[in-house]
Amino acid sequence: MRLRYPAAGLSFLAQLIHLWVLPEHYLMWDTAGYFFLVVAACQGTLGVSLLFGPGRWMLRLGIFLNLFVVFVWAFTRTVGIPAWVGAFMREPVGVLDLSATIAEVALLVLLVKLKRDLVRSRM
Amino acid sequence: MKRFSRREFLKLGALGGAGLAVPLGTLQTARSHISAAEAVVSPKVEPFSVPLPIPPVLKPVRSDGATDYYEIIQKEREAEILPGLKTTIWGHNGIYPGPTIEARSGRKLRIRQKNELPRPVSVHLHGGRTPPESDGYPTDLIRSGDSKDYEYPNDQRGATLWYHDHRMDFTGPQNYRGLSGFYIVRDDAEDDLPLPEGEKEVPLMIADRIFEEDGSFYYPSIDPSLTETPGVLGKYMHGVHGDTILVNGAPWPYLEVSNTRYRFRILNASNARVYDLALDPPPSGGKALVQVGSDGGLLETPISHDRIRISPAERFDVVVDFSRYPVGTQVTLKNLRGEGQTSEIMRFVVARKEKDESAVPQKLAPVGDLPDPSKAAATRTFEFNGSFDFHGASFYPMWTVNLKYFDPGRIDYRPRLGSTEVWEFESDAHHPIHIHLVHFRVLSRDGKRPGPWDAGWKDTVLVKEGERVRVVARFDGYRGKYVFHCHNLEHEDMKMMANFEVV
Repeated sequence: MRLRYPAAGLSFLAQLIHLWVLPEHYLMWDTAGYFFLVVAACQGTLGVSLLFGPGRWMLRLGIFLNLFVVFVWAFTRTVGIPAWVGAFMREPVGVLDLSATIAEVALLVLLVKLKRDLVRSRM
Repeated sequence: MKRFSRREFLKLGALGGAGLAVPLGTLQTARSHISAAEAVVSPKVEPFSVPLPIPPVLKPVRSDGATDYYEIIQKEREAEILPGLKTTIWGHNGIYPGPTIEARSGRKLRIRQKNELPRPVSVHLHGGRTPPESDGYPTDLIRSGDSKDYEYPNDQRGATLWYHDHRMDFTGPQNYRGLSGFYIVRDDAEDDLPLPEGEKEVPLMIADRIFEEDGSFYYPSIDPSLTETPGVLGKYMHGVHGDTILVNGAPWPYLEVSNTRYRFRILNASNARVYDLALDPPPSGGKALVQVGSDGGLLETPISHDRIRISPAERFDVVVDFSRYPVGTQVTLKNLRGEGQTSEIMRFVVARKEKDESAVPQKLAPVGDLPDPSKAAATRTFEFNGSFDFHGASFYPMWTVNLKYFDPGRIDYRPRLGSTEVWEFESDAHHPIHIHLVHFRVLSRDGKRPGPWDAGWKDTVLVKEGERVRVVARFDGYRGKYVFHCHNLEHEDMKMMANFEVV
């Protein structure tokens, strides 16, 4: 279960990046700002849970959360942000969003491992 | 009652901090930014207390048999726009409006533009029949410290043009800071007319701005450094409308006139505001504004108006006969669309009697070879739409042409050199649409006759919400890549632009 500390670190890193870009996105489009708010809040909650020993449900939620966030990132960088029927705005890949995604993918790997370890330890 | 262990207490505290307090606090910083933006009100200025400045006419640094050569340095300077306050502007030669350039039809003009500003610029000659390398394409940038030579053949009729910044994604804020000026092409046909001239030919650049308390411009950029993220705060998606009206860079100025005719070359250089111009009081008999020219030069015959609607980037060449007013009359140029202080623009004070030798002839100038819509090689339809509000759902807030965002690498349309095309513009909101390179004629609005302000050659046309406007243009002059776009500069910066390549 020592993996939970680096996992918590990655979760906080992802939170920090989402918080960093939250104001700019909110100023432009409040919906995007609220999305970043929810993601940051969830990553923060996950990070704290990881520090204090997460349960199976928390790990499962963390996996779904990070899968979803990585999917949204990939979608907006390949297809685009849906603006209207037929109009998609493809976001450029930047240093910050790429860093957050790398952290989230690494976090995903750790969360899966942590969940397996937890299941094994309870068998 | 359950007692919390120290560990549980710590966990709850950390959850509250990381999961709630920090994210909500961060959101609050953004909200405060918006509240602060909404609270900005320009310092109060006494209207009609400042004389109308006239931008200086730039002299060429040299001339030869075929070409006049000019040099302009774009730089940051302080100006006193509001009495007693300093405003940092970005100006051509450090002034706003920039110096007026007077060109002669058929005679080449070359301008070396040096950029001493901290950001890249691109200079577009609005209304110019210009080769693509001198058209000020949005990504054809002059970096800080660099220069670029723009060559203008002036192979076109006499007309009121203007030059302004056209940098990709940041045209709105850079124009707002002052990067614009008049460019007047003169020709023999105009010289032969007895229209008012000299001091009685007055350029009027109308623009609205918001000022901070200290006199600095307030522009609601998402990224005020103008480096990364284009666009404005969500509230300003429909364009930045200022609360202070400037004419030639002065707030609500006055001009003393004699009781004679004056010719006003009126340009709406506002980022987004549409004006309905009228004189108050109107002279007896009305029809105070006699339009003699449009974007593309003189009309065939004058048209008298009680009011003129002018959208961003449009020009109206208008003669006002102040002999219809008694000496001593104060005549206010009003904006019938405005509210409060934006309903007034400037004042004319009929101060003295004078002999008038000018006239407005009933025949002005030949309009040239008109493109025939029945011979159009293509009819294209363009929808100008916002993309952020669809049946009440909030989507990504950008503006589109035919549901596409501007991409400088994508050629959207390829008219053939010399071909005539009919373009139909449809719109979900008010969009002043400007086509580079060509001038066009308005054929119809919603299938009916063009409006009262559509006469003559145009390069910008206002398409109102839900309206369909048909125009016809001949794509001649030069092969190459050009843009057409909404001239609400916030819409333009937020992607409402498309490419065409003349092939």
